[in-house]
Amino acid sequence: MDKTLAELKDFWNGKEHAYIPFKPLNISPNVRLHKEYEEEIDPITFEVIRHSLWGVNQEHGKVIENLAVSPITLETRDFQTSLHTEEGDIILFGPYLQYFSGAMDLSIQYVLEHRGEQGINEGDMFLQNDPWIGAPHQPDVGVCAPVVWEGKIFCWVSNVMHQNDIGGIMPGSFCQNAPDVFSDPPSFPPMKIVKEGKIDPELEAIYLRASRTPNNLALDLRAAIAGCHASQVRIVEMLKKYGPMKVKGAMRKMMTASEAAFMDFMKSIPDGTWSERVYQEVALTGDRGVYKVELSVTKKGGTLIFKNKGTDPQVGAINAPFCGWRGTILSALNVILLPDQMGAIGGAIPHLKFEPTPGTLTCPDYGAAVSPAGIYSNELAISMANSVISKMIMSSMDPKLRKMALGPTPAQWHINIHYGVNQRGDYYVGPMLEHMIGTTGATLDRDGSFANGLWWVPEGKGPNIEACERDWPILYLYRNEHQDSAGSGRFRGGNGGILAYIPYKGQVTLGTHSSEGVPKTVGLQGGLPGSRGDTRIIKNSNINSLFSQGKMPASTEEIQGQETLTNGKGMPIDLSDTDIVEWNWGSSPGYGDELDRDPDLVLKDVTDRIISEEAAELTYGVKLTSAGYVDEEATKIKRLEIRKNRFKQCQASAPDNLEDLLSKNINIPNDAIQIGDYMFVHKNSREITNVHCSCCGEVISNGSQDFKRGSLIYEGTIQEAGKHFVEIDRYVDQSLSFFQFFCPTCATRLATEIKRPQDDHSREFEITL
Amino acid sequence: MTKSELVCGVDIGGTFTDCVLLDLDGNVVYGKALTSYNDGFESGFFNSIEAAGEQMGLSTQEVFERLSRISHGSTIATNIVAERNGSRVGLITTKGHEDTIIMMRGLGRVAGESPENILKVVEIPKPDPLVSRQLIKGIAERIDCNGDVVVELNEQEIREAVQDLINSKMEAVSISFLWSIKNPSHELRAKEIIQEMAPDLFITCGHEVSQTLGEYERTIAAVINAYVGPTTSKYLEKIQKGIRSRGSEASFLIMQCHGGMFPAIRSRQAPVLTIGSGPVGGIMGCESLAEELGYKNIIGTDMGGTTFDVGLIVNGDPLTSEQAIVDKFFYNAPNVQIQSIGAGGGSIAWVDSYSGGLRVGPQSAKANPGPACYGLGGEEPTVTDADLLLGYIDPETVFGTGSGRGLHLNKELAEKAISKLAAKLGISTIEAAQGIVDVANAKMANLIENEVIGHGLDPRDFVVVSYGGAGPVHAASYAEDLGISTVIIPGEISSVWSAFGISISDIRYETEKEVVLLSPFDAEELETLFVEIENKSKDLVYKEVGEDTNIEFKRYVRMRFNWQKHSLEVPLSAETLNDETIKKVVNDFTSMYKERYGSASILPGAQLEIESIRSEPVVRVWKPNRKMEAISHVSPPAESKKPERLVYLGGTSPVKAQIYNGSKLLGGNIVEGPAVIDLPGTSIVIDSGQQVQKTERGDFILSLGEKENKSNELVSSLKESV
Repeated sequence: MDKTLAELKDFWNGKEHAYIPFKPLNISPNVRLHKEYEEEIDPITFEVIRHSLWGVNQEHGKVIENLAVSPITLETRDFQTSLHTEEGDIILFGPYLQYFSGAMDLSIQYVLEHRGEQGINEGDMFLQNDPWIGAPHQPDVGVCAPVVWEGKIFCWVSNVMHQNDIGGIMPGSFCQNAPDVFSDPPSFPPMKIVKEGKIDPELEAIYLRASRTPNNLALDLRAAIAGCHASQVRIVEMLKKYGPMKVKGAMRKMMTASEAAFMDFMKSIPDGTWSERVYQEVALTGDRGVYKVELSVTKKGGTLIFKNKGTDPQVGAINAPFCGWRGTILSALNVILLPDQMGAIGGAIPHLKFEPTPGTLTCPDYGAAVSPAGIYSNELAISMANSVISKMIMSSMDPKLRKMALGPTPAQWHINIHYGVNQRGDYYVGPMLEHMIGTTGATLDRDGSFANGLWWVPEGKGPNIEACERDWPILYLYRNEHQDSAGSGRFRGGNGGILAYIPYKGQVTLGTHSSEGVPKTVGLQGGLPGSRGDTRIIKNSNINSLFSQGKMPASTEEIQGQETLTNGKGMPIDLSDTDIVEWNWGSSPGYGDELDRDPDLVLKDVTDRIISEEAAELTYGVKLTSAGYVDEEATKIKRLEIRKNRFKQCQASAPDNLEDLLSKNINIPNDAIQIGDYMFVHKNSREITNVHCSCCGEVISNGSQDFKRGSLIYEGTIQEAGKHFVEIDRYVDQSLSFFQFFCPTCATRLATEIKRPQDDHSREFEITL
Repeated sequence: MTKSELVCGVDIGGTFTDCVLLDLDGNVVYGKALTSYNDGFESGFFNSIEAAGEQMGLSTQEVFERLSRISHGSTIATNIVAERNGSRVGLITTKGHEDTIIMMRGLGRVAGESPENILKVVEIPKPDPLVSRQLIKGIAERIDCNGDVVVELNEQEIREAVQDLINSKMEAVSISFLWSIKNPSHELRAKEIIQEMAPDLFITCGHEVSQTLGEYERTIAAVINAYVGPTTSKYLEKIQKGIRSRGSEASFLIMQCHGGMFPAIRSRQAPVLTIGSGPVGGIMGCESLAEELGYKNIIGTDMGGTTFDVGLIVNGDPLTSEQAIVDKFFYNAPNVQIQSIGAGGGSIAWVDSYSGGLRVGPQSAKANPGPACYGLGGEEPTVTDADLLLGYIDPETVFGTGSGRGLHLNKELAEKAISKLAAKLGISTIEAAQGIVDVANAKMANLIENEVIGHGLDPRDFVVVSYGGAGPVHAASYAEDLGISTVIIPGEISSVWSAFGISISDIRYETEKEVVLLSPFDAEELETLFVEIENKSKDLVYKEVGEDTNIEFKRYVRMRFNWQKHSLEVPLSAETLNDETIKKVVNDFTSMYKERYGSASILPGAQLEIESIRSEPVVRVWKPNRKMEAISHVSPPAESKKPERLVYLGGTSPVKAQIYNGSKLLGGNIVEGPAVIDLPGTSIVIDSGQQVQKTERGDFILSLGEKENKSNELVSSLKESV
């Protein structure tokens, strides 16, 4: 039975369970809100105010950039600034780290509901890093401040900044070995850190106490306060200039404009549900488990409902707090769906419903460790949100909108964090942030791109080697594109990168380091997944001898030594100066079947060293002549051979007219719903809903949209998901397979999936016709 | 210098090539010619000088005989990158790091994009690399962060790589190894080898174009230099030959993005430093104006056809940035910092379909077809069309100079374009025109506010200098919004202000060295480092500018608190360093830091670090004092008055404004608002309560009156809050 509003409020309270606000908010009568506004605001005044508010938020970010000291905050733009209504609803947020957006309104609404009794006054600011209220993990500290006009809260400004170290059992506060929240850094529920314009020294002392770098934390706190303050003052000036009724009217109009843009998009999407499933692995140091994470979006009229039903219970340190999970969904909406709104998507948010199952990996109850969410579970969530939103877009009835679908980015933040004594004799902590160099996924008409940043941190910047070598005692051997790492497809994903370094003139311990076995970055419509993150250590290498012979190794194949295998979420490893560490940042998945890829594009990839000649032939079925051109005839034969082999692998026979089937013109009925370029859903004259293959036009599944049931299914090993995957039992004890689903008539690959034997396959979509 | 000598500045723009000519008496004249794309800008260059000469009553031969210096701002290198028609470049780099320029630090998609495009991940791609992968060669060699050799340079690999590149029809080569700023020996040796193998090849080493930390920025700077090098070099050579063939022995100087000039011989080797120098001339003009008029802090604003550019002069010096950008490629080159938004005369007004709000820009009608009123086929309503309808621009004016080539404006076409927009908005045509101007002004005010306050500065401490065709029309409005009380419009040359700035800029070299010096600093050690880099640059200046050159050195150190991100550059006195000067530098740094970031941003007890030292050898060029007129009566003479016209100043009812011909106003004359002063190519709009006084040098000082101000409040409360 559905819960009543009171029961819902009581349950989602930010104590035992995540805080989820429900309107109307319970706000103390001590708090006065400014709600009046002018409904008819002329288009010029509106634009002047709109642009100014956008500028206010930009300046908020600039103040933080000027004053913050945490290197992660600055280089990777690991912060966000935002502007909210008097009730805390988002009006707009900035072009910085996108998923923080989902936390900022929640923390303000919590303050309104729980801190109002003591009054919320001009000059007050609230700080919090509570993952059950408004922090995607504890190092993401939020500060919010009301803009007060004539004694009433007119609106709110807010920021979230990632902090270098806020405590916990690992330097850097990503505690992959924390069994529960009590080993994590401290979580502070909202507290009035600034009272009437002055920092409360007692609260500040408590806030700084657990950090290994309290001075940095204190400076960043001031940056956060100054940022909010700058916004407050500029908004008050606008109120004086235009009057509160006009400014509020413009704010409301911004909301209705983004609502209109969102509804315009919704018009072209049929009602239905789209889903994604990914397996997280190794819950904490020493664990060898596999855990299921589910995400679905249901479009019903003008509403999108997001659920995590079927997700495994919370465990270890791989949990994503609700606000982070929600933020990843808002990120995908903002960037993939509504980029023209420039962050002003407040009007769309009331049309989103979040219905998480409590006590799960993506909505943990209090007690779960969440501090490493910033490198594991939040990235997994954003990759999945990217995926379900793209699947939904691919079902749009507007062909232009279908092209906006985007393959997801890596589902983990790959990293090495080392620490020790640098070349100047100082203690140092070195987070290697190459993951920020990034990669983008394939779209329906373009390849993904190596080193194209991460869409959800649009302005983040990867490091220069010289800056790292100046500050840390390491020497890079190489850092280049990781050939053949991207998911293949009709349009391939962008490769990831690979690098190696040695300790150099200092003492180095490798702390947090990526090492995983399960493919997590899923391809769209049969595209293969993005790569895994790995860290390899070659002990007692001959590197010094190579140097003295005038050689610079460009891969571990050119180096001799003993390899030590790393474990997922492993403990720190001391390194000697002849040890070599190689690690990679992940690639993006592909879109569609690689046998459909234009052979000339394959040749270009070989020429540009994006893929090897071996991959061109084995994966894409493209054969090159000795002069380096595409051998068209041999390619045709090879591709047919691969296709026929698919039938064989699935214990089926290839039809005799396979070639004819693939070359025939397919007439997709006007009343069919296209799912990307590979399938369409159609109700036939007998009112039976079928899923058809868009390549041969034949029916894949009859009377059901669960097309996988009607497909040819090949169960393979994890290594078959891509060149750089390894035997999974190195990491986990459970069995997992890589499934490929082919059209039963033409063997075009329609989907891939990683799955445990005990789980049903994931249903990708269910359209309401 | 004899009385007959002249100097000139030539600035090539998208439509017109501007020339400003100055003589010893301080006479300043200008000429404009159409930019000549068909002959690689050459005839436009010389025609503009001839046109200016005509204004001084001199024949072509007389002008060239009398010219002692020709200073030039060239956009050729910028255009080559934008249009992707540079040379086929090879890159020699450290093995294992071949993809550095492909990676672009992951910022290739968004770097240099407008805010409107930052989130468009599906639509906006990363740029294609300037060097194809086949032409990037990794060579075994390695130097560490101290400059020590870890792996010797493999010369055999260099030879093989270069041969391969030559076979691949390479036209220029860049060499960039890790840590070449600490030890350039490998780059220099590689260069020697390449010179032996291909003596005529254009070669650029990373350490020659940038001395700062960061291999991506240095490598891409070297690549861009090689990419634009051969074409730019040929262009400068051609112009120089043209100058000589016209009988002139004038020195030929090229504007650099750092605000100084290089002799052409140097610029031919380092053309990357001319990229972005286009708008710098205007700011250098502002610097000189600041000195002339006694202002320390200036906001230089240039509103042209497509963009609105803002640069700051703080304490008499232009505010500089370390990072430059061209077409998404960012690199380290000290440059005069200029921020730009799409708000110019040609910016198109449109209605956002979701909010119904009126937006202006960033799309522009550009020069072709241009605003609707140009009558060249443009139908979209633009800011210039609105200015014309509101009476700000003289409907009889002709844009551009030269007989038969100027553009006559068509008010009816402007009205037609704006009325369509007004119909969509459900307001009158005049309201829509007023709206376009208000929105454009608000965007400009926001940019200035974010720039000035973002640097921790107070707009009230500044005056605005306004130039560019559309600038003076709008300046009062955006300045007033920020509580600024004074706007200066630099006389009749405001529409060629960049060319003027170019003509009077000094020759300035740059020399920089990365260091790691921790406090307490040793004066002697620092002095030795400075002397070392200054001796090297002296030799270069003597060789390229002349043995008898008088060089002044300006010294700077870049400092930060150890481990903090932000560093600041602090000027040093040029005298020999001692303990006292070191103490002063530390104090200057601390107060500058406090001023910018608030006193609470100082980390108590933190060690200071000097990251880099920089010395600028400056060779002062002769510049005339602009001619001064005798101060006349405050009342404008009758001949300066033009017929009244209806002007809309903020409301829907027009006022009958006094109209003046700015050229006929005399020094000392005061014009009270509401009024408009028409100038060639622009006009000054004066609201009620405002006044303009023409100075003895011909500049116009617009006083906005005392207004309630917010900025000071904001800056001071911001500082208090931290």
